[in-house]
Amino acid sequence: MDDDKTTKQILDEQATAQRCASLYNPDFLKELHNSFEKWQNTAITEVEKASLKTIPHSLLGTEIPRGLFYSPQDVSKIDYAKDIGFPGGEPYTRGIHPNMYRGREFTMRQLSGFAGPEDTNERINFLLDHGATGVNIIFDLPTIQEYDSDNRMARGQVGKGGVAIDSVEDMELLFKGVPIDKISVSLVTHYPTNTAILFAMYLVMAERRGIAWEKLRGSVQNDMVVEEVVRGAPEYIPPPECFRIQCDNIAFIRTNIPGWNCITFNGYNLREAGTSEVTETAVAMANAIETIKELVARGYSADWIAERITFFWDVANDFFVEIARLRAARRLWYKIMKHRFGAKSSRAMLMRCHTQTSGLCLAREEPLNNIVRAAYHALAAVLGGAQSLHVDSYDEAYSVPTEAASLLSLRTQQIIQEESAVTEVVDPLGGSFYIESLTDEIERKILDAVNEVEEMGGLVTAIEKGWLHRKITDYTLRENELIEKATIKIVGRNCYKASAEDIPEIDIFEYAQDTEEKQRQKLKKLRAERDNNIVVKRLAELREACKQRQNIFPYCLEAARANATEGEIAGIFRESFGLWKPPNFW
Amino acid sequence: MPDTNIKMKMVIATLGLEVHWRGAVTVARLLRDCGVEVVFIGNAYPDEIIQVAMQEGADIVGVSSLTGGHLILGSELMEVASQKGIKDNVVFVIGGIFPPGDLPKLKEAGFDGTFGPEANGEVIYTFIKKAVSLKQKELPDI
Amino acid sequence: MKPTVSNLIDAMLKGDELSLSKLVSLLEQESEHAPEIIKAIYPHTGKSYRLGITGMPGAGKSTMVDQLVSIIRQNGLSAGVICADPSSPFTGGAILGDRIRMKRHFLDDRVFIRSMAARNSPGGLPRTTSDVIKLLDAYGKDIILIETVGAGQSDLDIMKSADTVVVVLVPEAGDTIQVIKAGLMEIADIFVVNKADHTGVEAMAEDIASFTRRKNQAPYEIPVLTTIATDNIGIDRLYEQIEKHRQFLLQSGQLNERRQQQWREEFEQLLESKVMGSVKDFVEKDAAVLDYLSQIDRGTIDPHAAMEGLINNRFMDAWLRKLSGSNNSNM
Repeated sequence: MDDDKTTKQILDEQATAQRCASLYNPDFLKELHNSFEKWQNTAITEVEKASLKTIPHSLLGTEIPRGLFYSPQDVSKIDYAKDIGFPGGEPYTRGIHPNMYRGREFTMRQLSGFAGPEDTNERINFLLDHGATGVNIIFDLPTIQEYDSDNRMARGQVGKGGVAIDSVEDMELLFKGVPIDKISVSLVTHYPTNTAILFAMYLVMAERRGIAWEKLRGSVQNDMVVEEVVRGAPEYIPPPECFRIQCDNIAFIRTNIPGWNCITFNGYNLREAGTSEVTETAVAMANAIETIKELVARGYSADWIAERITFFWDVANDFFVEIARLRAARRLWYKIMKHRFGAKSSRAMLMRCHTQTSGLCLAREEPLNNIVRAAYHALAAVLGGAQSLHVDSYDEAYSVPTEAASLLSLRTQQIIQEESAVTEVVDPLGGSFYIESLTDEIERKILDAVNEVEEMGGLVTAIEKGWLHRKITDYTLRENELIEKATIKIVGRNCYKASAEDIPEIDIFEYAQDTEEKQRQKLKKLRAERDNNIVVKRLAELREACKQRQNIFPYCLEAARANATEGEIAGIFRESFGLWKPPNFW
Repeated sequence: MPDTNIKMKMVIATLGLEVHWRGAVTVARLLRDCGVEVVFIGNAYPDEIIQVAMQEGADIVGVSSLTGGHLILGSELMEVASQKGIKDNVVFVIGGIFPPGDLPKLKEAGFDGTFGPEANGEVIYTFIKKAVSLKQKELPDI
Repeated sequence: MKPTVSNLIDAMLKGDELSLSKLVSLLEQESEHAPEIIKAIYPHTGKSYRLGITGMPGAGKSTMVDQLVSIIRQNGLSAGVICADPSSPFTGGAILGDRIRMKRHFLDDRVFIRSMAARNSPGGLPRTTSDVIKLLDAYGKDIILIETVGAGQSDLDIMKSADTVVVVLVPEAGDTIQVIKAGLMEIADIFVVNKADHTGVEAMAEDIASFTRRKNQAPYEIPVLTTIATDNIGIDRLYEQIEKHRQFLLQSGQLNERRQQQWREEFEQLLESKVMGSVKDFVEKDAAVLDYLSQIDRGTIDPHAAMEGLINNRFMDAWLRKLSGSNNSNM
């Protein structure tokens, strides 16, 4: 591993050094080129000839030009073994497993999260009863932002948009009756700080149920980009400290909960905030590279860490681009692990990913259209070889999904899996001239973007400088312009406009009104019944660990065991590290 | 007095613990491009927002909410506005994601306008311009 | 019942913040009530201390102002803050994002923060800022902080209204004071190199120090400080230096001199503005002038000869007569 070179430099050197066996015979290519010229001069007009390349514009897209059609000319240098390979083998373009969905179906992992833990518990069990194969929990605003439900700052927001969790007790209620030792559980703990707190609570919950940590399978997010850039918040801790906690969490989780994915690099939320698939992938990978570097410096093996890394991607409108991006990401990650980090274990080179269909692409007008949109997104994710999938529900632009809408999303996945035969063949689009050409181009662009970040001094620096904030703001402004000009088309909005207020009678989720009060009562009882001396002691120990730059996770565990609340633990982080404000970026 | 000096001034905030900022920042920039002076304060609570609106002499207050906090915090905002005596001459708008059933409730609470995620800059600008001239019509030579 | 301007002034002088805010708006709009307002508040001014904070963009000025306000409040004093920002020259709009860094003071009723953007007024932002400072002074603010980006002449002119000017710089890659606008270096009473945890701090501080050594006029030596505003490091010392400068100005009599100079300049500007306004008006309408202008257009006469011609034709007399509104031809 060469610290002075950027990742792109290392990979480019590697590429030139490698022997190439092109798929196509040079004589054949020459003849083909002549035929193509003839075709250009006879089959199409001058005007058509001049506009052979076109640039499609779509929401959250990049403006990658497309040819009228693709042929071997577009992939003339392709080397099957080096660039495409066999599934489950280097370079993993076709898939991370040899038999992909034949061997293991994609996990149907719909999000659950609203009101109090008892309410969400019902939804979890409902989905599992109806065939969901994974659990995916999303938390409410106060829990995401790390304030207790009875904190003044949480008022009016408890249980909205996700489930309210304040303590281990709430975790117990949330997972009552759920076989957490048999099923994979994804906890959408977006940030390093709330991962350290909420996952600690999850582990203590498992302890109390007598379940050994070795039996647990699932993932946390733990992504600093989400904590520092993607979310708006009243209070942030400084990026270097956030990165440090991200690595602390990985080190602890990897060591103690071997079946758990210790980090999920979250491209999805960054993308939804406003970027292209290229930036989405590049930022996630730049974060991953910097993280592994740091952990190697701490004495861990890159292989060992990477084996439990996952990614989380957005799937938006540009159908083939989304498929190509997943393939490109797989191939690029393999190259990064192999050539930059010298990985020996094949598992360490796998780009395992969860995908979610884009919420931004779903419209408020004519909401039933969203069922169709989400179905196409889901199909793209499957054709791209994702390991697990959440399909957004059609009432996305209104509220959290109703039970019926949530079920429909699940059925969307099941129909692909059971009825379409799409999953019978691995990487069905591999070999398509279009797909291979797109895959190459997107991989190049991603690597260039990673290079840009590295040359700036790395992702933490880029975040501190406001580079990423500005990138998002500029992108959303341009996207907005394109929508207003109807260059980006949205059916029902700026083309085939819905009439006046075309909001049909769909059921909208109704929030229970008593969650805030219920949580408040629980907290009152908790604080009265626990041993507050121990809580104070554990929090003080955490504070000291923050100052002494020790791994904070074990201290969060101790605090959770003592029944400290999320807000109390988060308060220690804020106190110890001080607050940070991003530079102006508008 | 010279017309070019009559600028519209607007305070824009994301309400409470709202995590999404894309909409608020985009609207801020679009309105800036229409000639509005925007005081952007990020995440803020009703008492803070009203205090800022008062000190800044704002003509309009705009808040953004996408995750369900709009009813309780939105109502609170309008109550504080009323207590501090600025509800009647400042325009209040809210943008974001709301169940259709909540839109009339927001109007009842006192908001002059609500905007969904599809609203564009021109539409918002036209609306607030009209609303400001209506609400401030009653003011004397000041 | 709607308030009149004098109601507002009375309420403001009694401490009503909303009235203060409305008066600020009137002054910003260059309302026809502006002279009346200034006249009414003039006797109440002269008590506040005015602190200007300017410097390079991204230097951390707003954070510094936020920290200074905390210290001011800890000392039991009240604060007024004006954040002056550029407007878009194309659209006339602006995003005013300085006060977002002062959130913790939003609900402190002894802190008044106002964001101001440049508008197309004749005097521009320097004029209106100066008026707003007087209002805050009359309102009773102990210390008024005025923050600008030191990018344009207008931003530098605003600093003329301050008693102490703090110039904040940061060590960016390769930047030396050579690249900094000359005017910015000249107006400083105190230099601060912020983000002192970045590389290049010592070099920049030394650069500035050698500049001030050449410039220093005894008995006041311009100090060069280093700070990390986000961590509240060095801000106490900055406050001490500001206090030191204030003492120096008081004892040397320069405080009064500066303020007198400011009022004098303001009068001169008003005069100049009035005169120029009339000239412009006259030039656009006077027959002789228009005739000379078309000769210039045709290229038959140059501007200097035209000017001579006008003077000889008693242009000045006619104009002065018009200005004074009298028919006295003996000027």
